[in-house]
Amino acid sequence: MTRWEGLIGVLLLAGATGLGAEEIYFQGQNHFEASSDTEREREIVEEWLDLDLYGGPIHLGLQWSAFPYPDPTVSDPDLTGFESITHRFAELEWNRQKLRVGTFTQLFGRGLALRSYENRDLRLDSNLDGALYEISSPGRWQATFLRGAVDTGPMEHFARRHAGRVTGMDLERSLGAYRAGSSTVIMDTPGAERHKGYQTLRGSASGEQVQLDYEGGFRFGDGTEGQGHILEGSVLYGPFSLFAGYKYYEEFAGLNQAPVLIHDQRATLLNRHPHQLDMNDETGFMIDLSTRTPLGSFLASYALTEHLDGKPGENDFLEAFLEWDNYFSGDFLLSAHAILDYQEKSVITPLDSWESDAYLTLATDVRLGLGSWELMLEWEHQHKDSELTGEYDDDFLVAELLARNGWSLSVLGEFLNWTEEHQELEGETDFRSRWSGVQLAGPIGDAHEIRLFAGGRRAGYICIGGVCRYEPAFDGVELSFQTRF
Amino acid sequence: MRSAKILGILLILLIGSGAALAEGKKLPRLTITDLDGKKHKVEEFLGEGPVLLNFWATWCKPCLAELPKVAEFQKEWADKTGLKLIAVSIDDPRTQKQIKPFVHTHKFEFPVYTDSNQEALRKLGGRGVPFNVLISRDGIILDAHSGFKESDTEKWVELMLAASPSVESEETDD
Repeated sequence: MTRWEGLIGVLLLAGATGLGAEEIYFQGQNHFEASSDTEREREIVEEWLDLDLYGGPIHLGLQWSAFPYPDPTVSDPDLTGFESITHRFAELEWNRQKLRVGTFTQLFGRGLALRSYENRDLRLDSNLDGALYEISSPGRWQATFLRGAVDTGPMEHFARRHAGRVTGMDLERSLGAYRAGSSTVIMDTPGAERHKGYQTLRGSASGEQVQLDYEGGFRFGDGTEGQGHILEGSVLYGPFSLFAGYKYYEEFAGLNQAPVLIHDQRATLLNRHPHQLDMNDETGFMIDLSTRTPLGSFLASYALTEHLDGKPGENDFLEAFLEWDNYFSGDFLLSAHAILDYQEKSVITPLDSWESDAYLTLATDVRLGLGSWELMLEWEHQHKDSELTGEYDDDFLVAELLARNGWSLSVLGEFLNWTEEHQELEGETDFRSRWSGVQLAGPIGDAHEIRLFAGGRRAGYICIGGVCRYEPAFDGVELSFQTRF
Repeated sequence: MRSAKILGILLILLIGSGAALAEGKKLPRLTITDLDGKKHKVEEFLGEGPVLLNFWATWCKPCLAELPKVAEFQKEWADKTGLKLIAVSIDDPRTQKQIKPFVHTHKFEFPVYTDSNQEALRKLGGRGVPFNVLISRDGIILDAHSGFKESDTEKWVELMLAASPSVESEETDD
């Protein structure tokens, strides 16, 4: 934060404290996670404390984060812990205008030119530190201007935060069912001779039954020829919905997100073997056809994402699935869901060998009402056929009992019929075929939520929108405790 | 120094245990986006009756299980209290164009908005979905917590009636 930004912050703070006491209120939240892996003798404690003060048009906030032990996904052995105020800001809103100084996250359009955000599940935080100004005319136009410092290193390395500078402007105009917008983002990176810029345009037309959206742009400033485009449309007709999308993305990575044409799935095993986006060079398309019948809702989907020809690496992904779900108003059967999914991915492995894996997955869950209790049963079966490792099956089972007061008790199990040879080829170091665990979760009063897990969990990815985080294998006890006040 | 900070947090936790929650506080300024991309202030929806904000996502299994129940509750109380249900999806901004067909296929009969960068959810103290927030017609947060429990409906009725004494008297007259 520069000196003038700090000055504005102090002025806002002074304004907030100058307001009448009856207008000021305070809100806080504490999120604590701790785990002890008894097999690997590894303990992790993580802590986020958010404090917010609201007073009339002013909002002051800060977040304190602590990671006394390193995140397991961070490979830097020198990074043994971290604690700091990671967010602090002052915000003033008046007459459809907003001024914020300090840390902030921001999304331009759908994120093609700029998206900074925080996601704790992915342990990702790409906030900016600087100033943001927004002004809008209701239903007609909106303009956003920002300038801030941003981390240019790996997200987990908080110590390297705020090394580069970003300047951005976004304009959007609405005309009835039509909308058009433009984003400009310029990034200055330490050590780089020239800044790099991103210019995008977007437009959409929406009606009761038809919607069409486009966003595309090019890169400028540093001599690299880059471009990104996404075109999506949907048609709703009677009980049917048709959705189709196309994307092209080349040399366009920055403080933004590549467009994605895949689904975030509900099944655990489908999320564990997803497609990790190439943040620079991809093209692809997706077609969804869904319908509603007296027997429930059906969705048929086909999506293909391919690495651009001539670019280094290989990262192709195909997914086709048929999904059904239904919600019942009866006392006994409450809901049912099933998905039959085929995924095929081709990647260059870390050992530089090419690998193609196919996954056929059947996942189903049913929720039953038992008086004042609910029982949820889930079974997922996945068959893997890999050119490198061969074939084997994975079964994942969950039984969850949910009480009327919000407490739930879950028993989880996972069973693989793989051999030691499979496991060696997969790079597994501790040969194992079974994992099981038990989880207890629920509210304590109105202010606290607790989750306790004991047992084992197989390594895998957590993915949201094509952005993934690797979760190592775990055996031990895990506690999550959240408090709002 | 670290010990002092950790002690400070424990103190806050202890105070928090006994202090008033987000409930009873004024609704902060929240912006959500409709499925056509237009931005709206949540306060625009207040005035005629209480508002129930349900944060959900297309990939969230418990959300999809609870939404029909929450919708049923809203229908039951819409006439008596003017209760509105607003479902706010936190689906990733890059997949949010899939929401409109999803809503159509699942025949959601309530308005659906998006909070792609999760700023509204965060301002309300939520850290994941499902998350429900009941707001009185004059913008006071009556209840806010993760998930949906069967017992929530009784609590929400009590809170709505307490916040709108005129409705309570009509109920009594009946």
